[in-house]
Formats: sequence, C-alpha cells, structure tokens
Amino acid sequence: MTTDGWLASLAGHGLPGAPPIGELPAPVGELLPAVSAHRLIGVVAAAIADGALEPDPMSRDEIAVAHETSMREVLLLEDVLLDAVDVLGAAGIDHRVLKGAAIAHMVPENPSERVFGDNDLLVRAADIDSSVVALVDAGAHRPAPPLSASFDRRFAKSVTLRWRGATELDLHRTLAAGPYGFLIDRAELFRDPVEVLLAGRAVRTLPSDLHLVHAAIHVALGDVEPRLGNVRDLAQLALRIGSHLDAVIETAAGWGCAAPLAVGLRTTRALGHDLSPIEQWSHSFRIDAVDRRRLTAYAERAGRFRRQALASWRVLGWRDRLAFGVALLAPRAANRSARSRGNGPPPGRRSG
Amino acid sequence: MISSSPIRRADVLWRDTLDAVLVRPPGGVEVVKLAGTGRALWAALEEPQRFTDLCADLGATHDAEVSVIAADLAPVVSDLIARGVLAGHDTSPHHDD
Repeated sequence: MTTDGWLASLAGHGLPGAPPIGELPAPVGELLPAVSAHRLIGVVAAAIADGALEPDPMSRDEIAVAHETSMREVLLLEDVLLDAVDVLGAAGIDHRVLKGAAIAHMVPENPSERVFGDNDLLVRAADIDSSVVALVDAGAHRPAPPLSASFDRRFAKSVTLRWRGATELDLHRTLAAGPYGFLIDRAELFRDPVEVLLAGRAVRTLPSDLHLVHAAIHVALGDVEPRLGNVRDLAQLALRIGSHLDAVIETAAGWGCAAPLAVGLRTTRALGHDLSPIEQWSHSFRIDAVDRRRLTAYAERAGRFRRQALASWRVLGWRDRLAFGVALLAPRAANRSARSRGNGPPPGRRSG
Repeated sequence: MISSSPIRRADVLWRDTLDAVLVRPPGGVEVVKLAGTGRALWAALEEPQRFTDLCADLGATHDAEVSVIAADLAPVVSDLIARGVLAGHDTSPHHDD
C-alpha cells in the first residue's frame, strides 16, 4: 500500500464500510510528518487503542510520544480558548467556537482523536473591532494591522491574533475567503447554537448542519490540498446528518454555496467508506458556469489571492467594491511594512 | 490526610493518550500526567467514591491487599487534590466512613 493510500484508510477508520487500515507502509519516523500534517495522529492512537492497528513496540512508542505532544498542545489551546471566551463574554460579545475545538467535543467518541493547531471563534461583523480590542487588552497580540479602518468588519474573512505562547486565535467574520465568504448569510450562523462542555463549562458552537456546511466549504475552498483530518470531519458530520440532508442543502443553496458544499463532500469518497445520503447527493450535483468560474479563484496556489480578490469584487455591491478596491490597492504604509516582513495577510483573505 | 470521597474536578481540561491521562488544572501552567495507577485512579473517579471503596475496587482489579493499595494511594490522592486535579474534602482515614 502506498503512503497516500494508507493515510486515506486511516482517515476512514471507523466509518461504516471503510476498509481496514493496512500495516504501516513505511517506518513510523517517515510517516509521522505526513500524519501530523493531515492532523491524523489522534486517529492513529485511536486505531491502536481499539486494535485496528498493531505497530511494533518501538513504533508504538514513537506514536505515543507524538500523540502526547499533540494532546499537550490541544490542552493549551483549549485553555486559551476558555480565556478568549471569557473576555468576549465579559464584553457582551456573542460568539461561536468553530472547527477543531468544537468538532473534537461533538463528533468523535473520544476527543483525543481530534487534533487541532489553532482556535477559531466567530463573531458578528459589527463586533469584530470591539472583539479585537477586548482580546488585545487582555494580552493578545495582533501581528499585522488591518488593511483599512473598516476592512475587518466589512471584508475580512478573519483576524489573526496570537496569545500565550504564540497560540493562534482566528477571529472570524465569515467562513471562507474570497467570493463565497461574502455570499454566506452570516446572521444565519448564529441560529440554533449548540453547547459543548469544555472543562465543565458550556461554550457555544454551531449546530451539526452548519458545522457540516462549514467543513465542506473549508475542504473545498481552504487549502488547495485539503487535510485528510478535515475530510474525515466532513464524512463524520455527513454521517450524523444521515437522511436529513434537504435542510443542509437548502441552507447552502440559499447562500449560493451549494457548489462548494458538493465539491467538499466529493472528497470524502477517497476514504473508501459507504457514502451517506448527502455524500451521494454531492456526486450528482451539477456545477454551473458561474460557480465553475468562482471555484477557479480557489484552485492552484499561484495567483490564488489575486484571483480571490477579483472574484470577491464581482459579488460585492458598488459601494463596497470601491472601498474593497481602495483597501487592497492602497494599504496603509504600516501594513505594507508588516506584509513585507511576511506578517500581513494575503489581500482579501485574512486581516492581521 | 486523604479525601473521604475524591472525584475528578469538573473544571479541568483533560485528554487520554495511549499510556496516560493528561490533565490541565484551571489556572495551571503545568499539565499533570497520570500513568499507571494514576490513570486507573482517574478512570475510577468519574463519579465520587469513598476512599475505602476506591481502594477495595483497585485492590480487586490489581489483586493486591487493600491496606497496601490504601497506603500507596493516600499520598497520590492528596497530591492530586493539592495540584487541582481531584476534588475532595480532606479527612483523616478513620473518618472515612
């Protein structure tokens, strides 16, 4: 079995109908970088714990050390997340935990299976400036200034902050960079909050259907080559949705995001499991010319951000187009300086 | 001094690993690693247990004398309470009814 095939079978571990995980295709020291890059070390540990994977003792020890290191990082991240939630709560700012920290406590049977490398919090666009101020006052650091005074609340996907040991905290205004990020109905993201327990405290996150849409959008529009850990999230969320797919599809379609929903869901086929109804739907979905053009803005690394900025400009209203264009074409001198140091965001993607 | 009815603190963050449990107490900068008996102790204390019952259970699991388990466990429980991992009221063993 190839390393890529083994990683895919690992990502499908425990899903209905998924093939068994084969033996390690290479020495564990050679596999661990790829396993970590795909955020699958927790799945390896889970597979060993339930007997699906039986590495030799030395390999097992190497895996145990890598998993423990990741779990220590996750515990630090959750501690920082609780501090951030406290800060926002004290400032009266409504928020939702996104992605890893929420998924870990909602989806797998054991949260130790899900590794994540940063924290993601969603706030309303109108609250993003005051959220940044509150978190910076509490000790967070913003590596780069916004592209313009109103850029964060009008155009940014998220603002990146660093806090306590340089852990990354992404404060989201929306769920995606580029044109689809502007199409998402951000108000709807605050409907029907679900609570997950962190250290005995209830923190608010999205309901499963919105997590599924977010996970699909992230897989479809995020990294050019998605992490298999994120693909696994998507397959697990699709399984939870089961036959209740119509509402999910209607939500995404209502935003104009049915195409990235389908594109993201199609990636789960690589895991080799029995497809759930919404995964089956994704393979029958026909992408129209408008979405094909929009999706090209996310393909390939070279020129990606320029293409996203251009495609974003097309979905904005006239007043926003002007401000967006000015912000991208004439960033503040300080920001140019930050970007030249490698600290700044790609245009139209993240701010700060 | 040991707890009459120790229990996991609800306000800690924790994760299983392959060989241990990692616990991050509130406000702490240090992660406490519970391996071996500590891991078994953590598993047993999802619900509060009287110390004597806890020792009896672990004694049965590990096929050991309850008095030996109690002598080994008492300082561990006290230490984990002091480090913010477990909660419990410190009482003398003879109050442990």
